[in-house]
Amino acid sequence: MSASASSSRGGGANGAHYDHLLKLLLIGDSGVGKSCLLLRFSDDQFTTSFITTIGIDFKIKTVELGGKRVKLQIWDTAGQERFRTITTAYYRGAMGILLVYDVSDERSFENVRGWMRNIEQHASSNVNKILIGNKCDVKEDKRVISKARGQALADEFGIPFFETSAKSSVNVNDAFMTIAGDIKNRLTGSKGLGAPNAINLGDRAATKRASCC
Amino acid sequence: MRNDDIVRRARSDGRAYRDGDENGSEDGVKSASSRERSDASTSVTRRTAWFASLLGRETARGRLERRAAYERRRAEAIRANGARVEASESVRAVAMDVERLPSDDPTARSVTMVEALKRILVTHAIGTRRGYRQGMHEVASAVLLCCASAAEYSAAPKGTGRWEDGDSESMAFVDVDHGEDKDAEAAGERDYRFVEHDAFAAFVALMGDASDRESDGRLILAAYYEDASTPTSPISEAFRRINNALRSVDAALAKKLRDLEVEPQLYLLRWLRLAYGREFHRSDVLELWDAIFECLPGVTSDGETISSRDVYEGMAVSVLISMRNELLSAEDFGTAMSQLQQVPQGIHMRHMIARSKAIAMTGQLKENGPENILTWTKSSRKHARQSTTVKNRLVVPGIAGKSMSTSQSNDVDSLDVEASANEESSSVSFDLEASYESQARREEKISKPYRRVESLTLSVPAPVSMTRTRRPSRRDVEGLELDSDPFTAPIFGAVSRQDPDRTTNTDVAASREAAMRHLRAALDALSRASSSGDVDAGVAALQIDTALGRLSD
Repeated sequence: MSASASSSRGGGANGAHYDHLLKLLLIGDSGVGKSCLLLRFSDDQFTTSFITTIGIDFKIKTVELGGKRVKLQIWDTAGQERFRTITTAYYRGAMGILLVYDVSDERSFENVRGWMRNIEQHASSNVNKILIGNKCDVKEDKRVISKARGQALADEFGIPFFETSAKSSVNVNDAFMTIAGDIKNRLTGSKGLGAPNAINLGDRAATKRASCC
Repeated sequence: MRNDDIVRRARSDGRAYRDGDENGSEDGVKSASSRERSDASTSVTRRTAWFASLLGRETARGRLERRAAYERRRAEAIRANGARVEASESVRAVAMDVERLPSDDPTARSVTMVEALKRILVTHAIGTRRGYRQGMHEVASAVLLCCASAAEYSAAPKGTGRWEDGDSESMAFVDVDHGEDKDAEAAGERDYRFVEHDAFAAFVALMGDASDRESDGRLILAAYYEDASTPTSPISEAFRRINNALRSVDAALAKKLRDLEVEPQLYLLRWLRLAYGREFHRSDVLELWDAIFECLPGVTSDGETISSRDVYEGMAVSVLISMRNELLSAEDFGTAMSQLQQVPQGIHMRHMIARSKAIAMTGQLKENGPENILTWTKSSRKHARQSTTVKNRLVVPGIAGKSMSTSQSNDVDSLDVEASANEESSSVSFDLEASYESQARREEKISKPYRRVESLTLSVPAPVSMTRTRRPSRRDVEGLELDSDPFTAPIFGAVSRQDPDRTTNTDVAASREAAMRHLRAALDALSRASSSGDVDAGVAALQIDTALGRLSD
C-alpha cells in the first residue's frame, strides 16, 4: 500500500476529519519558487529570505472541495534532485504533480520538458499534472517567458496552466484547488456515484500500482 | 585587543556582530563589548579545536601551504568555469544557494562572507567528481563563519576583512600582498588574511572523498551527498545503518515508522547533508559539531576507540528517540512526517550527544542489522581475556536476547533476574543471571571466552522526573565509570562477570518469581513517569516489559 493510501482513517484525536486524502508533488528547477508557493498556499505567507530545500519538505492542508473535506499532503522537493536520489520515493503514490518554472528564467522553462520525461518515467501514468509559471509579479523587462508560451506548452501536454505569484498571492490557491479538484473528479468519477472515501482512493491507488509493476 | 578597540568595534561593526541590536547607549555598548569578548574567546577555542581535529597540528608553514594550495585550485577552477559545462552548472547553483542562506546570522549573509563562500564552494566543486550539491553551502558557511569569528580584525587595515553589508572590498580575504611571506609566517592563526584559505582547507577535510570506503569509521560528509537511488551508494548504506541501530535500540519505534512507510530517506537526507544544521538552535548545532569533530581522530579522551561516523549517524537515532512519544502516537504517515520535520524544542544537546556516543560505542550502526541484543564491545572482549571480574557494556533493549537473537555467540537459554528498587537513591538495579548452556554445547565449534553462567548487573535509569532536580553525577560502578545520565543509561549498562562457580542457581522458579515481582514494580514506576511525559522512562519501561514477556514464556 502506498504511504498516502495507508492513511485511510479519516477521524483523529484532534478531530481533523477528512473524506479524501491526496498526495501532491511540487517539482521544477531550483529557485523557481516551489517552497514559496507552498508556504503561500498552506500558511498564506511570503518571505524573501527563503532557504534552499534539502531533500524534501512536507506540509498538510485540509481544504473543502465540493462539500467534501479533502486533506492535501504536499511534498516539496529540492530542485537539484532531478533525475537523482530519491525519485522513486517521491513519486510513489503521487496523485497530482505541480510542475513549476520561473517566468524570469528561460532555463527553468526549457527544463520543463526534462521534468515531464521524469514524470513519465517515475509517476503512475494517469497522475494529474499542472503547469505553473511562477513569479508573474516581476517587471515586464525581467520577464522572459510570455504567458502565451507557457500556455502553448501546457496545451501541448494537454494540462492546465496557471501563471502565479507567491509573492503577490496571485492564482496560488486556484492552481492548488484546480489540481485537487481534477484528482478528486478522476478518482471519484470512475467509481460512479457511490459514496467515495479515502479508503477507496487508497485501495485504488494500491491496485493501480500493483498492476503496473 | 585594547578595550577602546572593542568599544569602537562594537559601535562600528555592531550590525555585523549583533543581531539587529542598534542600541547605541553606553550600557548597550558595554554589555555588547563584554558579550563580544566572550564570544570571541569561544570562537578562538572552537576554531583551534576544529582545526586540530580536521587538519592536525597547526604550523605557520602549514598555513602558507594551505594558502598556496587554495590559490592553485582556485586558478584551475576559474579556467574550468569557461571550459566545462558541469563547471558552469556548479557556479550557477552556488550563486543561487549562497543567496538563500538561513537568516539567523546576519554575519554569514554579509557581502564579504557570501563572496568568500562562493569562491570556496566553486573551487571545491570544480575539483571534485560530483561538483556542487545543494546543502554544501550551509556546511561551508558554518566553517567559514567559525574561522572568521576567530580572526583578529583589529589588525586589519581599514576597509578590509570586515563583514559589513555593502563592503566594497569584497575580495579582502584574498587580496593580500603575497610578497610579505615573512610577515605571514609570523602571523598567528587568527590572522584575518588566512580566513578564506583556512576555511577552504577545513571544509575540504570535512567533506572528504565519498569514494573512500576505507575511512575506518571516519566521518566523510561527501558520502551523504551521493545519490540515494542505488542500494550500494554510501548514503543508502548510512540509511541502513541508522535504521538497524534504531531497530536494536528501540524496536517499537522502528516498527512504527516501517508500518507507516516513513522511509529513512524522506527525513534523513536533510539531517545528514546539513550535519543537523537546521534541526537545532545554532548554539546546539555548534555544540554537536564540537562533539563530532572531537571524535574525528578516532579515540575518545579516555583512549577508547570511537568512530566519528557512527557518532554522527547515532545522532539520527538520538533525534528519533527524542520524538519517540509523538511518533508512536502518530496516527498516519502525514502526522509522522510533519513531526519529523520539526525536532522538539527544549532538548538537552549534552544528552543527545551522550546518547549518540553510546549508540556508536556499543556498535549499533551496522549495515547488516542488529545481530543481537547483547552486544559486547571490542574493548570488553579484550578486557575479558585479561581479567576475571570485568565490567562490560550491555546494550539494554530487551535485556536478554533469546527470541530475537539469531547469532550464535550470545544466545541465552534462561534468564534469571534479581531486582531491587532503591526508593532513596531513586534508582533501580537488576542482577541478571543468564545461562549460556547452548553456548557451552557450541564451544566445540566456536571458541568463545564466555562460560556457562554469567551474572550480569544491569543498571536501569532512574526515571528522569525523579532525578531532574539533581545534578547529574558520575558514579563508579565496580570500577567502571558509568554516567548516571538517565538519557545514556538505557543504552549503557554495567555488566559484571562473576566467577561461574560462585553463582547460586538454587531455585530457578523462586528467583524467577521474585524477579518478575520486582520487574513489575519497576515497570509500574516507570510507566507512571512515562505517562507524565518522560520519554526515557517510557523506553526503559518498554524494555522491562519485553523482559517480563520473555520471563513469563
